[in-house]
Amino acid sequence: MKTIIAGALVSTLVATQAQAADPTLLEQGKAAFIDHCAACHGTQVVSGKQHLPGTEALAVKYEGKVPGALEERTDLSPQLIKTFVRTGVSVMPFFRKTMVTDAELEAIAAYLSRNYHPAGTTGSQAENP
Amino acid sequence: MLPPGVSSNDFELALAAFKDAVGESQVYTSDADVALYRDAYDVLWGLPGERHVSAAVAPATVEQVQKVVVAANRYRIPIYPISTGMDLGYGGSAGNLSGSVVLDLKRMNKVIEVDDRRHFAIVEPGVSYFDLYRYIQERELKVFIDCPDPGWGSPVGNSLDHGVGYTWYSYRDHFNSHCGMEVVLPNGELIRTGMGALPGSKTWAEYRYGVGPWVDGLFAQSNFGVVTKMGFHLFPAPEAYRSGTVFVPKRLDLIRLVQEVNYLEHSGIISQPEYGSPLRALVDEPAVQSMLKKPGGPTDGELDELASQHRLASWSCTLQFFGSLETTQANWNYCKQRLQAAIATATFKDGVTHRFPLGMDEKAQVPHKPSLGIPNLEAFRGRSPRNPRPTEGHVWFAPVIPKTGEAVLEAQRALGEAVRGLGALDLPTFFGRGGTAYSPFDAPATWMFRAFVFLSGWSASRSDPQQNKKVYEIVSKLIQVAADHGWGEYRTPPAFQDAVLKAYSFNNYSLLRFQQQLKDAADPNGILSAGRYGLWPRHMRQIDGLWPAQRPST
Repeated sequence: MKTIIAGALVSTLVATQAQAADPTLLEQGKAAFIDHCAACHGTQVVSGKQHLPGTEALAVKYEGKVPGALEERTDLSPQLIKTFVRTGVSVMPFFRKTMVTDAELEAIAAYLSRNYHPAGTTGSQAENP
Repeated sequence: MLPPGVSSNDFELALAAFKDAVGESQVYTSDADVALYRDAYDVLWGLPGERHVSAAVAPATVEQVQKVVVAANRYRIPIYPISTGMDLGYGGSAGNLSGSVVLDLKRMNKVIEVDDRRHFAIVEPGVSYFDLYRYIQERELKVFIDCPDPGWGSPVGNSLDHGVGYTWYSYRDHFNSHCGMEVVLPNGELIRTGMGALPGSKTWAEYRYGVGPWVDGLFAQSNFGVVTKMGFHLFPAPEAYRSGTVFVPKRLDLIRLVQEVNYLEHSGIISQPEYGSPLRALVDEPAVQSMLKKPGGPTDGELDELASQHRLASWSCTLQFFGSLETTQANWNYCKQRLQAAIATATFKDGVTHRFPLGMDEKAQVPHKPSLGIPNLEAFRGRSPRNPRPTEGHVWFAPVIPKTGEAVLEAQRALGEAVRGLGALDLPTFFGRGGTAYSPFDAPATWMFRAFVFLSGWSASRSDPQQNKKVYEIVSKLIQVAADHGWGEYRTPPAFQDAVLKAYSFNNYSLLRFQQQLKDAADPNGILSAGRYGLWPRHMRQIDGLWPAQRPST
């Protein structure tokens, strides 16, 4: 897993910079994020002042060192997003291509990495969502 | 991998036929794509019994489904249809037979019709609860859906697995609330059931029986056809909701409490009752843990003493009401009056009140959204401050017990003793509450309005096969203990379907043998969902004419 992620990090730098310039892709990505991801990873505060399950899980995992909400992260590369959607992590299952198509995943990855700054991010932070 | 009994040449020909039917891009054969059809919450993950698929095919129309089924028959390819494939905890997207080709119906995602005067919907299998809810909200239609905890499931797929929900009366039993189906049979022929068999029918989603033998049950928890459309009766959007809770002090008060609440529910006064024990809040205390783990568990007297010491009730039951503000208040008043007369020491607490429609902020604050027909994924609270290292998945053990307090207490004793004997109390959990499976504080689920389901959740791991092996042994034992007490499961993942079916042995498995006769007639090549809920095709029934040859599970 870590070999795959480390290798992917280098190769996505140029791609990331190219995708960030496409506002249509970002709009599509935001819409797809809302459809497929926001139920767990959104920023809504729900009953009992809790965050949604994915946002809460990441806040607990990283003890506040990075935002629990994926949309607020600046250390997620497109390849990392794609990897975790297709392999799952912890209670999050992996998603088939009929649930999240490759095109939708490309857009979601572009959206979540729109503020990605690989030069300013440590290796450990960039390896884990 | 190849489907069992299929040559590589025939498999290639079948794949070519599938591609011709659905388009090359919707036939998935690469290792990476096929891996996405593993069951993410499989209790057999990493063990010899885990089921792996050989390929997946994703049609978008009924005609494509028919072509795929015909091709599967021609080349004897076992296929396994899924709807949204998110039935995690009960099998997910993998089937019962390794090497099967998954028929992934997610792309068939049209909401055909929603009628808010006659209160029904007709949907395709790929429509999720989220999708149907959004459709209704966008058009401001005056109907509620009834959904399970995870909103990503499919009304079609969920109901065909006898899935359940949380709102008013019969709507909670999702198969019971369906009305009419369209099905592709194993020979590729298309049928419509109920009034759908009358061309131009105006009542397909209103009157479910049509005329003559009603065959719909053959397609649920079974393998007689691929359902491509399904109608559902919907709950008219109520004006208001109200809740209130009754508390009873003594452990054995549960018996009269259940009797009275049954009367209220079966009379149509209340919606789903939710039983619980305030004593559950004490479960992590060392003294209580010692009490729970001792042989035989605590006595009724010890538990009453515990309740008294902490000034807590032994049991609670939250009653829910739908209607207008006035009728819900009147019904709550009636319930309090009747329960007080039955149990003099009962106390009551008003709950919440909602007037519909809810605003966005109000919806967000509803603690259990499916109780109001709002789909969400908040049940997937794995990692939390209370459970910093959850397991990756869960599997459910779901025995049906009688709707009495006596049965609840008996099940706690029998199943709790089994859990203690298996050393299961210290296993890591998905939901962060260990050591309480069938404890004296656990209450059954009340989705089914005529029976209790005494559910327990067990861990599944994608990283620890030995833990999976332990859980497999525990659930296998619980199935046996439950059967010895006359409690069968209402639903179970493929890993346990044969074991569960083996408990339904009346008259030398006469029911199963009858089902096999029907199966052999409808699907002589045994291509469709082989082994689903223990119904295997003829060519695989080597043991006693009922079961396939044994293969290792763990």
